[in-house]
Amino acid sequence: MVDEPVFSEVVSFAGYLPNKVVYTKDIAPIGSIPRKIDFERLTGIISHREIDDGQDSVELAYEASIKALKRGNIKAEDIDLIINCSVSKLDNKLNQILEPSFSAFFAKRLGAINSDYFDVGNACSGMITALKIADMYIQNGMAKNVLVTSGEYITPVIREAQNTSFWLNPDAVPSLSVGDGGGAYLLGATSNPNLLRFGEPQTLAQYDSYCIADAAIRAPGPKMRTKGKKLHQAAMKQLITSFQRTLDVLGLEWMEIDHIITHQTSAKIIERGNNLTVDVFGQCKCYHICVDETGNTASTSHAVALEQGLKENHFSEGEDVLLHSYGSGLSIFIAHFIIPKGVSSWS
Amino acid sequence: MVVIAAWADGPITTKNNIKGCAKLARRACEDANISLQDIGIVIFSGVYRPNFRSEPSCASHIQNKLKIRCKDLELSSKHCFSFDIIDGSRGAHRAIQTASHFIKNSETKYALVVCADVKPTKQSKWLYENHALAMVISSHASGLKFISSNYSSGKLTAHTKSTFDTKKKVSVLNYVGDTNHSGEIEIEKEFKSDSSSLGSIQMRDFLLWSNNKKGELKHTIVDRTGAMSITHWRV
Repeated sequence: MVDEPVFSEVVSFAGYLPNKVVYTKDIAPIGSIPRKIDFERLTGIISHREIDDGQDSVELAYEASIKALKRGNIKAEDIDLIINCSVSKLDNKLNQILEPSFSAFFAKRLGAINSDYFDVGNACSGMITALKIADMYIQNGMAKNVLVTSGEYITPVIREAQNTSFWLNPDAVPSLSVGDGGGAYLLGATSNPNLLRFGEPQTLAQYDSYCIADAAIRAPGPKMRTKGKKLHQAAMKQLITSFQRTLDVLGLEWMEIDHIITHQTSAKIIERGNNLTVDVFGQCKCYHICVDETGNTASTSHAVALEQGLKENHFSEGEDVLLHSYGSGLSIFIAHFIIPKGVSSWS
Repeated sequence: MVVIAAWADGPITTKNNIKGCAKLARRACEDANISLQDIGIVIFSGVYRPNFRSEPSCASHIQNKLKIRCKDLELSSKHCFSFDIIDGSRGAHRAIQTASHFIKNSETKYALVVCADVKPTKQSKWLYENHALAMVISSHASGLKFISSNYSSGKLTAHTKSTFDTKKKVSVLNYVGDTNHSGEIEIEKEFKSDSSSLGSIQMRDFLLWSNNKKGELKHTIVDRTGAMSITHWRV
């Protein structure tokens, strides 16, 4: 008897945003940034969310994950493997979780008592990287139910940036574009090879210094420094080729793809990217933008956009979604998946 | 099935950690008799990074330092993919397992796995010596064959986080809870690493021990929380 090959599928997904809404005009009023830059106009980000009292990176991941488990009709104790890809990994005292892995703390919070766990670090491409690793664990028979999750409590970089001089540290300005959020995908095993697939992963490491996050100087929590214009130019330069290569690898036609979600960095950049793709491939069916109300939620940005799409009833079972990720490094990775059954009944 | 085609280890400094890792990686590639441009995957599996860096991946810094396929996308250009795996001391095992999956599922024949940890800030209390280990993992070479791995959870009775020292005005390491360390144990075909060592040292000690061994071997790593990984090998 020959074993049937095993592939993976997205059983469910969820994004989570904390309740507190913070407006860009309040954190970056005109005059606070050199050359009287209107940050809201520059980025198209009107507001973002910040954690509620007592929340932290683990809680953001938890809130998204319990939603994903409920939608996937899976109990926490049935999960074999948890892969976390949070960049921030902050507790609510701004301490970074180092050892054991963030996912060990998360597994305990979730009650995933039978689950193996580890973390993946690949900046904003972490989620797609973790999905690929989860897919391989399933294909190689090492897991059946995998929860890929992230909680990004990253708004402390806004506070740090506000306390610096933007004249002396212009690379701190992009820190004002982030927002807190959580994301989760539940993956399961299937015999269908077409439910979750990936483009070729690439790291263009010549751009590795364009966005760096580490501990703040003389203050608790993290700081982030981004050469925004250079990073944007480097990413845009690859956009068309990365899409074209993925279409070729996966045998897809651009006009047939139901939903395209790129990394939510800024509304203006996403619109610019969309215009580039329209010129080459034509107008796609649905290009999602949620960053205007969420800010850049790092590795959770696609999950947050998917959740917004669910709220607006954009998705139907059997439709396909292309998730295009960019992460500092500069890594580029694209996932393609089919909206699972039962999506219309998800709460 | 993949093998460890070659490896190199040594001390590194916090300031020049990427340079140090790259130097060891270069040496491992020379020993494996491969070009750096043959590498399609770079995985970094350390926990403690300079100034608690959280992005980008250390793997991408190592890739850039080694100038592995650092070029813009073209329709048929070959690229390298870099990312980090963080799993306490078990990171080395986890990275080798993940590298084997990538090699099995792609055209890549060679992966570079680097395990390294450094004192994050000068003011941190540091229980270890900065150290790095670079391994070339391959499906097309001879060497120690990686067969399988399995993992079990630990208890969260001990953990390490960063914390802000209000007097020194800097983020430092904060070790919380009691750790029950288990010492090094060598049986004929089994090697259990000293759990008080960094992951890279634990892996290096196993690689040294495996020299001149034959047959099926077993390596166990236990981290400071009691989480365990067991890998099976064949020589």
